[in-house]
Amino acid sequence: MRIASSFALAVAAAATAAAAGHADTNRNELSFGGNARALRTSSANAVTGDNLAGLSIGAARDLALAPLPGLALWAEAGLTTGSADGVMFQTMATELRQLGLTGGLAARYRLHRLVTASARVALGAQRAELHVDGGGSVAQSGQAWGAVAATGAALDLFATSRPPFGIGMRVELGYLAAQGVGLAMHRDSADAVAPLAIRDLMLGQLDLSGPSFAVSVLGQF
Amino acid sequence: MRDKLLRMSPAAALIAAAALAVTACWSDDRPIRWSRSRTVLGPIALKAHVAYIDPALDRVVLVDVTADQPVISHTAIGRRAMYAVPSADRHRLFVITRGEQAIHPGEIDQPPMFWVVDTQRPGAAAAYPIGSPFDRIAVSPDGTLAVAYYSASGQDAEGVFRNPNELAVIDLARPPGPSNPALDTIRSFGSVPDGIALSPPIVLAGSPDPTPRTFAFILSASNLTVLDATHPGRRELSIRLDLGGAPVVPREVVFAPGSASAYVRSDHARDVLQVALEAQPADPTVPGDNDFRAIVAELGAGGGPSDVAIYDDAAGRRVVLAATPDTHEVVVIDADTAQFRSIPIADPINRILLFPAGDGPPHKALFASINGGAAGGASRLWVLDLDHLGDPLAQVALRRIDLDKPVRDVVAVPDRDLAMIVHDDARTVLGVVDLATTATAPLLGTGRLDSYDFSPGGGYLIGATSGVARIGFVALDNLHPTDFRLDDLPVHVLATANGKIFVDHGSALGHATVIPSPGAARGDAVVLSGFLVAGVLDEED
Repeated sequence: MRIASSFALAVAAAATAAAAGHADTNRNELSFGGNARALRTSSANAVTGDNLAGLSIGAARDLALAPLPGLALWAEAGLTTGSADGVMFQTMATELRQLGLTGGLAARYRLHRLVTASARVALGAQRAELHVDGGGSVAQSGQAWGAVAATGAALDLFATSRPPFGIGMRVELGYLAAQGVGLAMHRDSADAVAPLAIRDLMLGQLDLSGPSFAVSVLGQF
Repeated sequence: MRDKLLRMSPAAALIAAAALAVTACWSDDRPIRWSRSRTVLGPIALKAHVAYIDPALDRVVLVDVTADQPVISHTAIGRRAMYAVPSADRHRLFVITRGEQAIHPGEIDQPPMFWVVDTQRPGAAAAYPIGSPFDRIAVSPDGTLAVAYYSASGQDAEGVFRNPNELAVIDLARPPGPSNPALDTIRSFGSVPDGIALSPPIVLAGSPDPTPRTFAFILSASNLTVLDATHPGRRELSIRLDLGGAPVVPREVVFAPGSASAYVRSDHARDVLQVALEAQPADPTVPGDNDFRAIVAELGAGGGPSDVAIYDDAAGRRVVLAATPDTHEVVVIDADTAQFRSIPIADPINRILLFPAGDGPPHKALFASINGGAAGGASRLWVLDLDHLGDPLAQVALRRIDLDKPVRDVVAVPDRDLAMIVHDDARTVLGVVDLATTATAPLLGTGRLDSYDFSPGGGYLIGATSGVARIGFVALDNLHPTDFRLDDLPVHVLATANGKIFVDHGSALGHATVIPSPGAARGDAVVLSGFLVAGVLDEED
């Protein structure tokens, strides 16, 4: 009982300190930008020599917790898309698409009134889709979901950060570890009436892990 | 201000370090293997498998069609496969890989290799370094020896020198070693090999060595070279074929069953050449001297034979049938006595088929004039009864089969007294002739017969037209045609020895329909999709 009382007092004190510390900052954030991910795994190299490029959308909220002076914890949710085209064996065109959904925590440290550094970790899921055109009449696609873990370090540069509305730009470097997903390829255009039983074979495990880079515009309110 | 900057420096340093690290590992070079050109060899029908050779992924893909659900397996081979042939029993596949020189990152130094892929042990292949980038393979009928040699397709673009008369003799019963393969250069008189035929196991009469051995008959313009392939270190024999006139080009070697004789048909030769091998003691003073000699005899075809067939009749007499279109005759030659009998035929015959074609003495011969009727229309076939041909008093039983159209091709149906006739270049008008009754039946196709095969035992003709998503079957017992509707256009149709029908649809990804039998319903068939790239993402860089 005594320990619980002490913990409650500590949390209340931290929250009070945080509220006091962030009284001049916005507590909600929306971001929109572009991202790129370098594909370095052997399975990704098999299908394309390009890197994934796409869009990212994010939302975050200040949790009003300050574990250390000057440090703020934010809860984040993000959505990323990416695509890359390639050619295998000079003739087989490939199209790689990914959709990622993540949620996580970010620790942000205000270096300056208009400059914030942050580090984040996130967990989520990613849908990888591959389309392979083997020429002739047969093309195949496969898609699968797998887990991802992402981490990154970012620098936020604000034009203005004072409430009620701040706007700035974020540059982030990170790494995304993706679970290898087994891709069973299916024929794209089976337009036959009452088609024959098809046995699709596994293309293998596709691993889209790699370092990432993102630039986004963010607005805080 | 300076203090503030100093306070910021750890975080800034961390960010800078992260930026450097990410930048350093941002991009990599894609391994060169994924950018290789890829022309898949196959499909090749084996006993219960269908094989494809992938020269980009350096592997043989075997589709095992034994069970209801086909099983895919991979066997790794060397770089740049360029030629493949199956063994006579179709249990093994032989592949030559060109190898590679490590010029670009990701390439490896690898010599030319000869690979033996055993379908009963998929996953592992035996490799024999052959030293030179040969691009042709001859395999002995018993599968114990193979000879790799050059085709006559010209200079190898990657080499400085090429010796077109070099060959590698590979003893398939022994593992690779210093003497296996044995590289040899055959004696040349200015010509290069056009082809090699390996004999069945031969025991030389009178030889102290009772071991059956394989002889390689190497065909080149105006020369026939005979090499003891079982003992490749020994000297070869050269037989000059011309007499100073037009070059005599050997085209076909037929080995007599159970004897040490071969019969050679050549362009611009008047007769069929019989080459009989006999034992002869080796000269101990000559290193590598051989222990045999060749006795050459001209069997009097007398008119420039265009096709020959050899058989042993029921009495054990060896008979050579030679078609001589210039004289409009078929010559029946007793190979033992060289006595011959000419049978006049109005058409310039250039195709001879024996029925039945398997073991045992044949009873009938079919003669055809392929493309011979373009001017006047040799729209007929001839059937010769062979059973009483050895009796000089018996009348020659030659029957004429009149057809509606000229003959463009004729193919024996395996294990049956039937032959399929192709009447037009587009292969849309076919016919089946029954040699027992000489009855003919026309078969009309909706399109060009681009690919066909016969089911094991000759029960069905199986055909495909590239523009029609169907497989056609003709039951050869009653000529009843049926169709099997496919989901995709066929490119190649094969019948495996276990009775399955494999329809390849020509996709680089691998797309095929496996039909269990000619009478199967659609529900029994299965489509295999993506089998040529199966597991490709699991390949390590």
